Amino acid sequence: MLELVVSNRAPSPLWQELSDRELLHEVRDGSEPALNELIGRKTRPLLQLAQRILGDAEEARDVVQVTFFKVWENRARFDDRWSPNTWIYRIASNLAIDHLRARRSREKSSEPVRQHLRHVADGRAQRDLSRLEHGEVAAIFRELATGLSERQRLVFLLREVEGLSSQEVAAIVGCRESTVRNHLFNARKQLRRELVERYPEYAARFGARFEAEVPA
Amino acid sequence: MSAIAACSAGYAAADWRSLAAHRLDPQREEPEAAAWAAALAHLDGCPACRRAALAADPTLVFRRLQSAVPIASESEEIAAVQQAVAGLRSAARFGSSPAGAGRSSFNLSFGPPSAWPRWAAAAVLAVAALAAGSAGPGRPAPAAAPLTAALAPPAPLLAVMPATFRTVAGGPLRPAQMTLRAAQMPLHAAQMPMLEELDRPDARVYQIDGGNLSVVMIVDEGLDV
Repeated sequence: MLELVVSNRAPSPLWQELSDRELLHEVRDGSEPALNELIGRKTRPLLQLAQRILGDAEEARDVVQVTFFKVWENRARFDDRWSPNTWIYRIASNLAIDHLRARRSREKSSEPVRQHLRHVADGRAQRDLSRLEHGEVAAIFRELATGLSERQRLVFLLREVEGLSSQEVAAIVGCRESTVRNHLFNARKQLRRELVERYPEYAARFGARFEAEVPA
Repeated sequence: MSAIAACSAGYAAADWRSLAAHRLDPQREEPEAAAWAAALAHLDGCPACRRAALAADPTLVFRRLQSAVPIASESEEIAAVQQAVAGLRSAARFGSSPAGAGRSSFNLSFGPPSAWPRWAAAAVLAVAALAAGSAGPGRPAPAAAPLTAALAPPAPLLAVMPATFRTVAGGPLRPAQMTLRAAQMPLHAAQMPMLEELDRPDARVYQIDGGNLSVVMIVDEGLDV
């Protein structure tokens, strides 16, 4: 059996003028050009979020691709009461957490990586936290974040790095604001402790006061 | 008061200890959002305040993660995502996706997402092999035929295939080439109208996309003519 299908459909330039919410309405109605416009707008921020969560560009790409596929597959479930960003971030965050869980066992055996980072840190002994490059901060976070739960890592990144409000984070993570605050506090506490233990060359500069505030 | 002098905006080390205190104590109220936001905005551009703030709470260093993660080429990334999503949607529509692909839960139940986009390319290769009409389960290629010939489309089909699926010389593609090209299918392949409600659960459907023409192949081994 062989069938031929002919199509001359072209993307409409009007998609660029629509708001995110209007675009999602179009996507909900089955518009594929609207989905492509949405991909054009959200790929960069989602890639950055996924890369911060996962610390791996290739995995982040996979997460972003599947996120938009899930947006399409679940388009009928988009509720107008939700913020489009919150909805999409929630899908991406859940996928990224799935990734983290899947590789949790691999991270447990990352001691050689830690040794390497420590060795690199030795070379930076004369520098301080305020002068670290972005890549160095990212590497330190990747290492220290292995000690956080997936939720703590996600909440910390959404609140501290993405700059979202507690309310928005709660909507994305799917918990109460008080739970967000708890995750955030515990994540900060854990990160401070790990900074002292693993990067004493930085922590020493902050003196006994800092160490006294971080219970062992 | 710290030895660090107040900066031109009036912040001193003591201010940062006070401002950051809520971060160290779950019982403390957060400062007024606007005041904290203004302090953070100032912090990013003031080296003296950065040192004082990090002394108050070293985890503020992770604010540096806000600077853009390097992305090689945004337009290429977007095009790649659009192509991959189109491939995933096509694979799901053709029923060749793994179990669970169409489920509406946000949590994946079909394994790590990293394996998922590759299903689309794998499905394309499998269907292309079936479309050749000489290979497949229960119908092996003739022993004398080389693998590339077994996977090659029949000559009449090759004639109507768009360049996407042909080599420069017009000859058959090796499997590896077919996989690569499938991953680079034009974006509008998924924007074409598709067959709906195909009532042949055992059939496999594949669309080969051309400029203004798409060839949709329905391969059903049950129709052995």
